[in-house]
Amino acid sequence: MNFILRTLIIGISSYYIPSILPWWTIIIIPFILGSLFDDNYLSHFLSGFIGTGVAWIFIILSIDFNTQSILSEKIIKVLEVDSVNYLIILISVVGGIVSGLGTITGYSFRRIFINKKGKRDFRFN
Amino acid sequence: MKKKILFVFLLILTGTLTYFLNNQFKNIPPLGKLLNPYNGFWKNAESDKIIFLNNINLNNLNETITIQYDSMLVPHIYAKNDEDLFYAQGYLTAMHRLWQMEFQIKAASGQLSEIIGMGALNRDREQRRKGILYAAKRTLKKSKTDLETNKLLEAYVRGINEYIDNLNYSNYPIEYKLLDYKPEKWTLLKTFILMESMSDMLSSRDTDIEDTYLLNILGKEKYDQLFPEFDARIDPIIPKGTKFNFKSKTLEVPEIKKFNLLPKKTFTKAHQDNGSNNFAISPDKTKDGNVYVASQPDLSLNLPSIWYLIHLNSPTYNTMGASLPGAPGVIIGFNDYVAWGETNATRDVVDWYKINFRDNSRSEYRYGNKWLKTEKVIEEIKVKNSEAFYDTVIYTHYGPVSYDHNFSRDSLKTNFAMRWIAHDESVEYKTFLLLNKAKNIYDIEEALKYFHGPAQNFAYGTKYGDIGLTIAGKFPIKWEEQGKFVLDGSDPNHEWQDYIPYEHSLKITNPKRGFVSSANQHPSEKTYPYYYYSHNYEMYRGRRLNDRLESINFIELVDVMKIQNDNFSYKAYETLPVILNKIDSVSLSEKELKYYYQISDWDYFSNSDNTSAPIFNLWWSNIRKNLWEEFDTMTYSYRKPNSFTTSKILEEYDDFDFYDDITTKNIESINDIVSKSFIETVDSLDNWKERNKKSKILWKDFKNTRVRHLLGIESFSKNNIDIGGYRNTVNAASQGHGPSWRMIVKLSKDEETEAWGIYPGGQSGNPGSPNYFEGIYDWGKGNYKKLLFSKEPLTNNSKIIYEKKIIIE
Repeated sequence: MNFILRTLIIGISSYYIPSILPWWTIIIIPFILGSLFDDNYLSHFLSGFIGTGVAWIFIILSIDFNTQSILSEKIIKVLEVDSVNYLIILISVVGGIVSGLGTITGYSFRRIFINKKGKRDFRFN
Repeated sequence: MKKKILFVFLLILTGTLTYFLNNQFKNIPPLGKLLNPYNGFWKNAESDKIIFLNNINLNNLNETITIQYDSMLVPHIYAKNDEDLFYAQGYLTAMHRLWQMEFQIKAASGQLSEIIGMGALNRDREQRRKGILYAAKRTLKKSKTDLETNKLLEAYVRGINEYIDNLNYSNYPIEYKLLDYKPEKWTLLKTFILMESMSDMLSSRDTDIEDTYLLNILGKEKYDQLFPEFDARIDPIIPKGTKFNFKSKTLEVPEIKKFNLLPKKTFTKAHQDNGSNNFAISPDKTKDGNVYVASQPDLSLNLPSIWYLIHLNSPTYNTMGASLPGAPGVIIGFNDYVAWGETNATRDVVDWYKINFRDNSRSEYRYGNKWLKTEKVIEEIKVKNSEAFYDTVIYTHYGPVSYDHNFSRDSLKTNFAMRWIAHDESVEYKTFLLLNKAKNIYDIEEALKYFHGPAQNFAYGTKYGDIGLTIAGKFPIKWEEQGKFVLDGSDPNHEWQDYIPYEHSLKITNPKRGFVSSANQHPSEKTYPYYYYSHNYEMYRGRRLNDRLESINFIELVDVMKIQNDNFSYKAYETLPVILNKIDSVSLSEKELKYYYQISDWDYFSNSDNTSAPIFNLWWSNIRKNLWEEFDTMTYSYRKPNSFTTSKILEEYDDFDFYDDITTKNIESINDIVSKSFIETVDSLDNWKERNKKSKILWKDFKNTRVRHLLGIESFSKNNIDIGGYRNTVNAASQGHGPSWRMIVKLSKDEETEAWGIYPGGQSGNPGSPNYFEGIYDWGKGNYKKLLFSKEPLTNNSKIIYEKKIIIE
């Protein structure tokens, strides 16, 4: 539950960041979640990666669909990327990595102060 | 400890990655900033034309205003006072064109390196050395003394800044995001730099240094033959036979000196094809008895377009037409009473003075029997991702010493100061603001009095049936050939002494032939009492235009449209018979004969799907290349004889110095050159077919007219537009130049003014707007849009796609 909950919170927070704020503020919530919840690095990283990555895919797909790829078709030529889909995946992965790094940075911060409870088998819960 | 290290490591890793994604490195844009879905480029994509207009937010109005947009996305501003009107113009123009406005100013004033990097440094240095900023500052100072104009200019600037102030990264134009920089505040000075940038584009081109060099090498006789000032065939703007009832002030011709020490390199020249046509037809010549005014400024074809259509309405103004983003008012347009359009009045208004400095400190220079002081200006050119570059430019009373050893490693003695009319103070914007509210031909003439440059041929008409053309601009009075070659800066007699008074400027009103026209050709016959000169008078388009206007008697709207889109090549008509004659068809191979027969059959129309135009144009350029190849051995800047003179020499001389290629043993005749060039042409054309996998070479494919984004970004540009014409045809669409705005206005005594227009581009400068490429297709096809023009806001009109009324109580 813990993992899904965190992923959802990160996803929703990534979805609703206002355009006024710089994009890298996506890190804040994952960092906080990382430092609040006890889990392992992989699980934390994945919650950030999936949460933000999926949120970005959704936002971008809806913009691109609404605007009929009017600008993305032009930008891929500037960036020499093969297709708009590829660009969307690429940028979502980048967003996911940044967010994932945010969570594990938060988690490593937590680990400085709080020792991990008894070792468990790796599980997504 | 380990945990701390891990935390610090992750923190640095995350921080560094974020930093890299948020900043530009070398040519890689800041990917996170640019591509993120919150405020990256995705936010610049528009789902329809209207959505963006919801951003309009005018906070500093004095009275209620109504803004309507028609389906072409032209703003119609209905204000209750002039300040609100121009304030709104500034705001709405910036909304669609902010990036371009700022970019043009940076380009003109030599600040491009700041945003582009090293690649623009040489260009920036040239712009600084031309003294664009120096000129703009002088003009600004003068303009401030005219309070009325200044008030409206200030309102316009306020409007632009209002828009800029409300921006955040999310709604920056896409180009700012790609190059990763920010819009800066607009200033009055920038609006004046824009005017200087027009001067730069239209009046800075000169070949004085080149010609001095050529004169030294060729001798006067040969030089005059290769670069003649006049020809019997010219059809000047002021019709032949016009009598001038005034005299020029007589100037004594001082002693002429010969200069051998010249700069090796000169400035990059403004494009030669910058040219245009305009005409006005009197009621006697039109079928419906109305006046027609047509204007087609031929400029670099860019996106965002150089023009922005606008309709300005207040109790004093009701004017519409093409405006320049960054300048208030309408530049080429009409109102309820009159219509006007400009073409460039090419004339040599740049002269070069050899400066003799007293010593190497260059703080004084010789002038008559005195030494005058110089002023040193240190130009700091900021360069992106690199250190700033400093250039010292010396100013004399003539102007900047543009060419010196700092510029091109010439010797310390090679110093030339630029005297350019654009450096003088002037009040051009007054002209346009007066024209915009002119009611009759006298108002127009009054307005043009204030226009100093870049000199323009203003063609105009009024609803009362008057038509006229005035060549407006400030011109120095010159002795024969003064300033055609470099002048002696130490001799006061070489200086410009005085200017042609406005009353003596070239002008025609209601001529017998029933029309006025211009197309960058000679302004008049040699009988004009003042000496004038340009190395760049157009020799073909003007004659074709006048032929058409003379031959049609009851001109209708469709005829005017046809004339603007006329693809007849006068150059081919005069040149092709001459060169066809010089080729021995018996010696041609079968393949060559096919091309030969095809070109022999040509009717001289360079329509878009024509297949002969490619043969002629390539053949002719090969002939010129092979004929004038000796010129290419020169180590200094030079120019070659133009097409007109080349074809004249071919026609008149069977034997001529340049026919023989001096690098070969044999003595070549002109027939050899023409045949050789033809065979080269056939080879190139066959190669072209293979390369492009096409069985036919259509003119439009071969010439490839394109509208290029100002940064040259391919996907923001449009290539291979379906359009005919070429540089010497009335429809002067060459590769990167062409009719940047086509306007036709019908002025009627009893009816409202009607107008049609089109330009290759959209009102929105945003590549993410569905409107961005609008207009290009129809422009190529020669189609027009009827312009919506009314005295008051329209209600229930299906053409209005958006309306915003801001009520002030």
